[in-house]
Amino acid sequence: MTGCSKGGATAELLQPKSGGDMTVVETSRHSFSRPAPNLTVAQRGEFFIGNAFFNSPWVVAPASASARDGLGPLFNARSCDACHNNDGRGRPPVKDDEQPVSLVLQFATPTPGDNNEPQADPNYGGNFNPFAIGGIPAEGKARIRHHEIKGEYGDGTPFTLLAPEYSFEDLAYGELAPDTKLSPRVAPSVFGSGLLEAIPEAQILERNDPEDLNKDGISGRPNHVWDPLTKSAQLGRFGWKLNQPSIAHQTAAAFSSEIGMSTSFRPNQICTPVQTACAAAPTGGDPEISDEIFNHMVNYQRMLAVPMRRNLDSPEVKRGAGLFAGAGCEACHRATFKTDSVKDQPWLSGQTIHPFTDMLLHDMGTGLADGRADFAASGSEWRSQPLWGIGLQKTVNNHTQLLHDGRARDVSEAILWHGGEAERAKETFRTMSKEDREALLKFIDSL
Amino acid sequence: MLASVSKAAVAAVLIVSLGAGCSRSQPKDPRQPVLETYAQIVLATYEDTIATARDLDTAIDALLANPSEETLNAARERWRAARIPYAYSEAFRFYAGPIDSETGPEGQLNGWPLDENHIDAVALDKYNAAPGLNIVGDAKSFPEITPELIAAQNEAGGEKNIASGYHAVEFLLWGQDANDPPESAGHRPYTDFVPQTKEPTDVNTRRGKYLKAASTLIVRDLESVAAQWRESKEANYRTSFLTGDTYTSLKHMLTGIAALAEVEMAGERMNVPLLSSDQEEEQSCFSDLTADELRANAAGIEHVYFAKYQRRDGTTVSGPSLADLIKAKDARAAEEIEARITRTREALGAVKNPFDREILADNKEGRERMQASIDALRAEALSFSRGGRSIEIFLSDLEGLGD
Repeated sequence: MTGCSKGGATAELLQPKSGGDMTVVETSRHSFSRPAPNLTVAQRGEFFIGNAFFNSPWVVAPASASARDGLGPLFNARSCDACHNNDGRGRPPVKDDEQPVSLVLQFATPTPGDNNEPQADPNYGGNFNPFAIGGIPAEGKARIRHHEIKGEYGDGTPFTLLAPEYSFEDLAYGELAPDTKLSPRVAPSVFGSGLLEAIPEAQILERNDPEDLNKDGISGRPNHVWDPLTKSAQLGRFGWKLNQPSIAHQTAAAFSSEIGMSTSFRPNQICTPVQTACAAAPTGGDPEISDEIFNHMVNYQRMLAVPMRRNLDSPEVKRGAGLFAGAGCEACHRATFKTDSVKDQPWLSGQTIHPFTDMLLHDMGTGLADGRADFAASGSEWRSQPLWGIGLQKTVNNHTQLLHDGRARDVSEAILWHGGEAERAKETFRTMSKEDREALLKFIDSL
Repeated sequence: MLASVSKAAVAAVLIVSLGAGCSRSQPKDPRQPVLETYAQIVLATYEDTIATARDLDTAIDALLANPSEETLNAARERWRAARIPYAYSEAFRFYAGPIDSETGPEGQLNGWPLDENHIDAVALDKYNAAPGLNIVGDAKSFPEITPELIAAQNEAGGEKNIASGYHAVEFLLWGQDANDPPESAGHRPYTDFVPQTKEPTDVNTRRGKYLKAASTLIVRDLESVAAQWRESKEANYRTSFLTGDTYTSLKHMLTGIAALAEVEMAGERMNVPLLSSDQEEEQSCFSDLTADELRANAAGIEHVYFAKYQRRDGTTVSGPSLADLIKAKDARAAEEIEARITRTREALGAVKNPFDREILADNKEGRERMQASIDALRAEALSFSRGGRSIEIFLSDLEGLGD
């Protein structure tokens, strides 16, 4: 299904079981944390093991619990749950003196490496680490300020958007290279990722249209990322610019960059040449996270359930579905996929799912651009964010900071930031009547 | 809303409720006395945790006033004793009640693994690492060691730095468990608490201060939870539990015991260590009390299910129970639950102390005992889900799960 569906079949947009048989009825703050109901007892056991590690803090080496030590020396957070709290989404700091924990500030120099991979800042590595273990200097402090962008809906109602600006103070390891680019990225939620991983590549490529040959204004394209393990280019499926090919790759990257712990996937401690104390600090083993524990954590993420839709009987929600399709939102926030048959992971296999993402990159305009390429993704391209679960975001994480850096304070602001390929859809929303806007928002809230 | 409870069952519940000291003559919902008994058992259990935590605190005072082999051992004994009612109280977790709501103290009380390096110097270990900076040793950064300082280590937003609670006290009383020999626990000498100098910067003195501050914080946290379950003029958790939606309160009761059995005991505390075979992959790794605590956890589940709790002082709190409700609706489901509770008790009874030897890779029998307990606990959790269904309480993620 390509192109704008002008008010077509909205039935597809109103399917209750967003995760197929992995859907669970839950509306509490644990909505993203449940084991899928189609697991066997033994699989549930596996789930709870991974859950234990996902939620526990990792500790400084050497510690009695030696399977869990090796935190840092430089880090952003001590546990997966610290950023993906309740398996949900991170946010930028709220208080002035709060350092970003679940917002990662990635660094890259403008020239990519031999395999098109982003190259790290020479002194600060691939991302900013505001915390360190005892005796080691943390990298510094990040400061976030905002400037306001004022606008009006078509009916004259005013709105304000906040554009963030980042700066650093008390840098402990010298200067950042003058041409180092910054990409701020909040932790996305992790539920349903097994299903996304199981979507056949061919289905994702159905909407691959970088030259916009069908002339619908949308030019989604995949990211292909270099996998050092298989020494090949793989389809990117995870991350704000689809820069990780699998859950395992993403998990290993996060352990390495944000918790400072090594895995078989990424066996090296990341200390730059000037970070000598970091390099000299004791490690928690080689690798610090054993393959066994790592696999449990990957499986755990694959087994997380998707919460059921809510309020699908509401006439306003149904009307909103029509508006969602009519505005062209579904062109990127694709409603339906069917997963592959996955050996050894039967709970994921053959599921009809409704993630409301096309798993492709889109140019979102200059307002949202970070100017930092990530493999094939340009500085202004971002993936279509999965919208499933968004109506429970507030309940689970007590905030609704949306978009890649959490700048949007709610769904309306997120839509208003859409530009580039999404400019036309945004304008449709902006110029809708108040009743129509509210119906559309109610529909999104049902996801 | 209540489905057909037979008249006989209602009468039975009414008669039994007189024993619980309930002064209602006409309960609107026949399940209400079950909620009231539960609330009483919860409060009684927390009060016992407070009493034993105070005993521990007294023993710590005695240790610090006069450090010796005897006073250190006495404090260790009191720590062990305090862990038992706490283990019972874990049956009241997992539904965001006072113990583990967003602001609840569960992580601060029972957090694990401990960030040992953050609290106190640790010995050179197999990686030949030197001790890092820590609170006890660093008088410059941490001039005053107070309960507030310790609590401040547990920042909001999940950035926990576990340096408080029972395991912090355990670490200070026993020291690291170097597993040499494997049967042993930690080996801290009492001299670690004998001041070397009269200066406030003296490390041994500061260690004592940390111990006292952590103990004070435990008592304080337990009291804050008990206050939510006490009868009170101001509305508290007990109020909403008893007067709010009965379905929700019953669901909380069942969720607590099912989740404790399957998620925490079988999953986190047994299956994880079994799979990693890492000797120190155990909750109470410094004292090696883990197996006894698991047995106490299982007893705590029984206290809730059968609504019968014998307090420290020998008196019993009892009354209408989940068992009564389920038996009245589905005798077979109730029988299955009881059989599985018994099997769990027996399987856990067979698990040997110390826990960290049971899980060793070459201990075939020990690992089989562990697996038997894990299987029994999972089966027990499933039976709670089925029993719940019979009284129309649905544990949604356990729904529809076969055996």
